Amino acid sequence: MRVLLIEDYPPLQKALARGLREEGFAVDATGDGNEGLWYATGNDYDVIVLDLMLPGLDGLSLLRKLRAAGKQTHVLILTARDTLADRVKGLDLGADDYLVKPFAFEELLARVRALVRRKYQGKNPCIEIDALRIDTAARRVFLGDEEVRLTAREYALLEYLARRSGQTVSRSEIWEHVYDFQSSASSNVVDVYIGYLRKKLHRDDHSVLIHTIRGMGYMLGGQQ
Amino acid sequence: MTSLRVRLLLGMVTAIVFLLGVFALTVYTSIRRSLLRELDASLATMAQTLLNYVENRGDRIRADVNEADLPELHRASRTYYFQFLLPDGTELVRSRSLEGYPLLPEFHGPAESPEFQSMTLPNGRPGRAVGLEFRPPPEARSRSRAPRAATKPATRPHVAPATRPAAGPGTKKNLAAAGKAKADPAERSGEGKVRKGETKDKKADPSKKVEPHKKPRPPRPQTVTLVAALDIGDLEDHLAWIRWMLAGAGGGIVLLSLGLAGLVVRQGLRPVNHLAGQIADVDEEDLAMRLDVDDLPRELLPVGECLNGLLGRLEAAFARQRCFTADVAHELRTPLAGMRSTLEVALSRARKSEDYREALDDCLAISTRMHAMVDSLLMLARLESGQLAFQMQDIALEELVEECWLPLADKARDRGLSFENRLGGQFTCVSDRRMLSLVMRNLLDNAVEYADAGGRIWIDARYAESVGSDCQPAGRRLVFRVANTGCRLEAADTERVFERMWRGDASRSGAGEHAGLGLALVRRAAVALGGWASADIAEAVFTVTLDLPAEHPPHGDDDRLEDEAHRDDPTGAAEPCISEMAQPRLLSQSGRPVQS
Repeated sequence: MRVLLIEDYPPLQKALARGLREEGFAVDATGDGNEGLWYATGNDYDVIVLDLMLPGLDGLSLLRKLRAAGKQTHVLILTARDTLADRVKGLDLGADDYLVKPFAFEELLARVRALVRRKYQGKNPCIEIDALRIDTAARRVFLGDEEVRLTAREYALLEYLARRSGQTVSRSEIWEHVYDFQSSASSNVVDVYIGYLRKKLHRDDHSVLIHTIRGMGYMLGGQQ
Repeated sequence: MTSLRVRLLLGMVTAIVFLLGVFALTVYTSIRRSLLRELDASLATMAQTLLNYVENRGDRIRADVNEADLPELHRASRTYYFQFLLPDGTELVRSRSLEGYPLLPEFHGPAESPEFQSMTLPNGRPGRAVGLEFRPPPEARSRSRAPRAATKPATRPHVAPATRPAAGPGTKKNLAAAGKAKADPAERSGEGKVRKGETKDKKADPSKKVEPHKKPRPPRPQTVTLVAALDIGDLEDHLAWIRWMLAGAGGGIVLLSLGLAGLVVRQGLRPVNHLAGQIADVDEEDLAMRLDVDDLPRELLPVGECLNGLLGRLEAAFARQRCFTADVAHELRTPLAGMRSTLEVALSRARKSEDYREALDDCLAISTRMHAMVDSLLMLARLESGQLAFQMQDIALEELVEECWLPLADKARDRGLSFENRLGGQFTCVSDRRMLSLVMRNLLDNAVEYADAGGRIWIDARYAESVGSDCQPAGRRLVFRVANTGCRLEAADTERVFERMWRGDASRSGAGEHAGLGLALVRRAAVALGGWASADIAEAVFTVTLDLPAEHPPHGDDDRLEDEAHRDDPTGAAEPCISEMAQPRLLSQSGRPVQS
C-alpha cells in the first residue's frame, strides 16, 4: 500500500516515513505543500498523511485543491491544532480522519490501515481467499493452518493482490501501490516478486494460484 | 456618607422642611398681622367713640362715660377696658372692667396717630391697647352727647385722620373706615409705629381744622390721655390653633414627602441598580458580553461606555492570551510528536546500534530546539512581568556585533549569505550587556534565517538627537539597523512581525529553529532597555531599526524608563503586555539603583 506523507517537521517526517516503510508501506515523503499536491495529484496513493501547517501551501488548501481535482484518495490529517473548529473544518473539507499531535505511532498505523481497508471496500481486517488467510492488522499470512513467512515487500505485494482478488491487476498498478520513489527497482522486479510469492504459497495439498493474464498483469484467486 | 440614596433623600427632605418652614412662617405672620389690623381698627373706633365724651370746660376737663350708652362697645364680643388720665397722672375715669384692678400701663401717641400695643391686661389676660393724647376743644354746648354727636368731625379731630376723601366724616361706617385707614400705617410699620412723613401730613391736616377752635383757648390748656384695651384672649387662642395647625400639617407633609422622596429616589436610582446588575452578570469566561447602554440615562452613559470599552480591551487581551497559549501548545506539540514517533519507531523492532544512535541524535536535536523555545518563552514572560534586573553600562557596538555574529557565521556561509558591516566607526550605547546581546543574536539570527539563499545582510548605525517627547526621552540616541534581502513579507506586516508566534506565512512553520518568538523578544527587550524596535519592508529588504539610549539618563531621572515602558504601541497591534509591563528597575551589581 502506498502512502504519501506530507509533514514539514524533519524529525517527525523522518520517523514516520521510516516506521511506515518498516510496516510494509511504500512511502513518499515531502515537507512542502506544493510538492505534496503535485505528488498527490500525479499518483494513485492509498492514503495521504497530511500536516496542516506547511510551507508553500497549507494543508487545508492542499486538501481543497486535491478534492477539486477529483482525487478520491483517503486523507488522514495530522496536526497540532486540536480545537473542535479545526477538526470539523478539516473533516468538512474532505479529510477522512484526524489525528492530533503528539500521537502514538501505533495509532497512526492502525488508522492508516483502516483507511486502506475502506479504499478496497473491506471492513474485515482478515482477507480469506480459498485456503489463504491474511491478517492485515497483524500482517501475518496463513495457508491452511500453516503460517507463511513473507518479507515486507512480498507481503505488500500479496496484500495488494488480495485486496483486489478476482481482478486483473496491471504491473504498473502494482508498481504504483507497492513501490515508492525511493525504491531503486528494475523494471522486472514485479515479476521477480511474483515468482517469490508463488514459490512461498505453493503447497501440495492446496495452493493458491496467482494467474498471469498475458499482456495485462496478474490476478489472485478467482477463475481464469 | 457613601449612600447616594440616603444623600439624595436627606437633601430633598431638608429642602422640603426649609421651604415648608418659610411658608408656614409667612402664612402665620400675615394671618396674625391681618387679625391685629382688624383689631386695631376696632380699637380706633372705640377710642373715637370714647373721645366724644371728653369735654373741656375751660378750667377743667371732664369725661363722663356712660358705658351703657355705648352700643359700639357692647357690640364687640371682647371685654373692653379704658381709662382717661390727665397729664399729671390723675385718673379722670376708668371702665368698669378696670375697677378693682390696677390701671393700664400709660402710653400714648398723638391723637392723629395713636399708638397701639400688645400687653398683658391687669387681670393677666392678653390684650391689645391703643393710647392717645387728646386735646379736647373748649366746649360750651350741651353735654348730652350721644355717640352720634361724633358725626360732627369739624369740632373734633378724628382719631384716625381723614386722609382720603372717601373716608369723610358722617357715619359710624366712615369712622370705622377712618379707623382702618388709620391703622394702615401702623400695620405697615408694625406694632403701631408710624412713619415720620405720614405723621407730618396727618398732623398738618387736622391742625388746620383745629386751629379755629384754638382761638378761644383757655389760659391753661389741658390734654387728656386715653388708653383703651380689648381682651384678645380669643385671638391668641385662634393664633395658637393656627400655629398648631401649621406645625401639624407641616410635620405631616414632611413625613409624607419622606415617603414620596424615598419612592422617587428609588425610582431614580433604578438605572444604577440595573447597571450594577448587568455588571454583576459579566463573566470572565464570556467577555464578549456588553452592557446595554441604549436605555441608560445620560448621566450614566459615560460609565456604561467606559465599562464597555474596558470589556472590549479585556476581551481582546484575553483572546490574545488564549491565542498565545494555543500557539505555544502547538509549537510544543510538533516537536513532541516528532520525539515520540522517533522513539516509538526506533523501539518497534530490534535494530543495529547505529540506528539507535541516529534516533537518539534526532531526539537530542528536538529537545534542544524545545529547550531554546521554552527559554525564549520564559524570557518573554520575565520581560513582560518586569522580573529582570539590568546592569546599565556603556557597550561598544562593534564588539558586540562580532561576538554575536560568530556563532551564525557558519550557517550564513552555508546559505551563501554575505555579511556587510557598514558601521564605519565606534558607536556606543547604554544598555544591559546580556539583554542587548540577546537582542542582537535574535536580530542577526532572524536575518540569516529569512534572507534568500545567496542574499545579503548588512548593519549600520548612527547617532540621533531626541528633543524628548511622550514616546522618547530627550538625549542622544543610537539608531542601529539590521537589514536582509529576500523578504517575502508585505509592507502591511511590519507591525505583526513583533507579535509572538507570528510567522509571515502561516503555513511556514519552518523547518527552522524559529517559532516566531525572536522579534517579539527583540521588541520587548528594546522597550525594557529604554528603547524601541521597529521594522520596515521595502523592495524585498527587511530592516529592523533598534533605537537605544546612547547616554546615561540625567541624574535622578528614574521615571524615564517607566515612560518608555508604558508607551503605547502606536499601531495597537502588539500585545497589551507592553503597557501593562511592570518596569524592570535599573540595578547596579550591588542591587542599588544605578547612579549615573
